[in-house]
Amino acid sequence: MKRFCFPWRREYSRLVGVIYRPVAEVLLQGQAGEWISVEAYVDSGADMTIFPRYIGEDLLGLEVEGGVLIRPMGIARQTLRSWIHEVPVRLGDEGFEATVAFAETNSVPSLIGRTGFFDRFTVVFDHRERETCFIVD
Amino acid sequence: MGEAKVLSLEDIHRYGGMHAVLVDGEIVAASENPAEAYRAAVEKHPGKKVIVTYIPTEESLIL
Repeated sequence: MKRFCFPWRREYSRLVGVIYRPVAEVLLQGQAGEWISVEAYVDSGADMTIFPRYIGEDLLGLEVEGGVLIRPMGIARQTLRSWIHEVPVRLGDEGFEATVAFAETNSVPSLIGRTGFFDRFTVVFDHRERETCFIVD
Repeated sequence: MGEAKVLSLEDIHRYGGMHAVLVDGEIVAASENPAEAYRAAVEKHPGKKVIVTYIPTEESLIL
């Protein structure tokens, strides 16, 4: 069994003050073979993994709008055009092909969501230790 | 347990709403699209950990 654990990031919110948010480093492989490191929020409420447009277009070299178009809806019912791609990723030393979406704008954070990521691991959010662990057999 | 990473209030005030390039945990650039800054940092700092990440605003709630 392998565990890849990531400490949470201490941030500030005007509403709740100091807040620790779960983040994890994920590596995405670009068209030229290079690996791009992204620190993304780990979001158990996100159905999919999503990245801002510049990561797909400018760092990975993808034709973002050449993917499968989706219009995911946020909790305020706003939609965000995005395109699905299959991208080689690494989390810890676990490498796999992930289904991820790239948004039409850069105005979104990178979010690691359930489909394509969580379903490969047991994911533990440890609030006491302020860390997230991805566990794989 | 690893050591918690920290985004200071100053960083959040200064860079909130932007994407940042971090070299060994320190913000070296931030903008709406830091792709060029990321490449420059990788070239300038071989062997160091270079990462892109989003800096939320103080008003943000991640939902």
